[in-house]
Amino acid sequence: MSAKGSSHGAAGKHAPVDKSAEVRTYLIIFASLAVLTLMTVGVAYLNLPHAAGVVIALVIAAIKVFLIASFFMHLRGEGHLINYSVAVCCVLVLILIVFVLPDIGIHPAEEAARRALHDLEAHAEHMHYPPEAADAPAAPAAH
Amino acid sequence: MSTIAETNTGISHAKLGTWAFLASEIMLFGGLISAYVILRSGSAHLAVPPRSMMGVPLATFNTFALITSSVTMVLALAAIQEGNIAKFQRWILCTIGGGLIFLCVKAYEYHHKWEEGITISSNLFGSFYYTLTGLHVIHVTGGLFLMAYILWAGTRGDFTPDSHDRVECAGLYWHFVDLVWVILFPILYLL
Repeated sequence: MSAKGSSHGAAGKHAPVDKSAEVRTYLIIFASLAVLTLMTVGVAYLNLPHAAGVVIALVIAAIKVFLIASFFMHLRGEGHLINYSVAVCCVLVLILIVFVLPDIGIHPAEEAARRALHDLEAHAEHMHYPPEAADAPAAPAAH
Repeated sequence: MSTIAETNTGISHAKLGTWAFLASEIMLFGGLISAYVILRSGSAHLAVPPRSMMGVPLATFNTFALITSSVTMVLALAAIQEGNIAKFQRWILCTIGGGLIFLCVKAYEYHHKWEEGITISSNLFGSFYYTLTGLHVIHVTGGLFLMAYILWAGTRGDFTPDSHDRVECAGLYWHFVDLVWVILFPILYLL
């Protein structure tokens, strides 16, 4: 196993060391996370096309996750065992999403109808339809 | 305490166990988040409330509270590695403060959303919103108990520059909680 695994190991026998360089790195990462958070919120209010907004938000989130995992969780300094274990988990989660997405994307006409219905529902929620509208009797079924 | 030289992997048992636990947590949150993403992309029944109802400024503030508590946690680890117990205690207290602020804001947010009509049974979005954020809140609460224990153990003199496994493992957990929120924030509040 790589000796890297012990670089942050608590059980490593070493004298107290000067951590000022590491502390500086942590503060830079913190500033980066703060800026990226503001960017995510700013981009969301730019009213970009939906797909572009989603891609940008997810890319920013991915960068933030990478920074936290690499520097705060010290994955950068870990050996192969831990890094590969985490990578396997991430791949498995991606499988959960990616393997189902094609089924959603192969029906363009249904997708357009679904979007229209979705917009209507969102509008209805926003407008707080009065209760009587919801309680109105349904149209009689055709026999 | 076991030393690295005593393990086959070169990684302390505590750290390896913590990462195994975090791997299961990735699958737990990953399963729920992927279900939300799939339904959000493919279900006509997942109506997302307007952004004005979601309280984006408060959620942004909460994001800052968590990333601040994350950096104070890693500063606490650096302090104990330097052997500075006073600084360690100060940073752990700041971490606890960040977590408490997050929970208080979340409680206010839940109350506000419930009054707005976004409840766990109002629609599919409500169910996912409360399930995902509720599970995260449970993790933050558990993390705060863990931090309180770490503070107590540190004050008792359990940690030295050579022996602070528990601080490192508690930190890993806390950063993971932060990391989950970094993903939940855009997908629930902004998209």
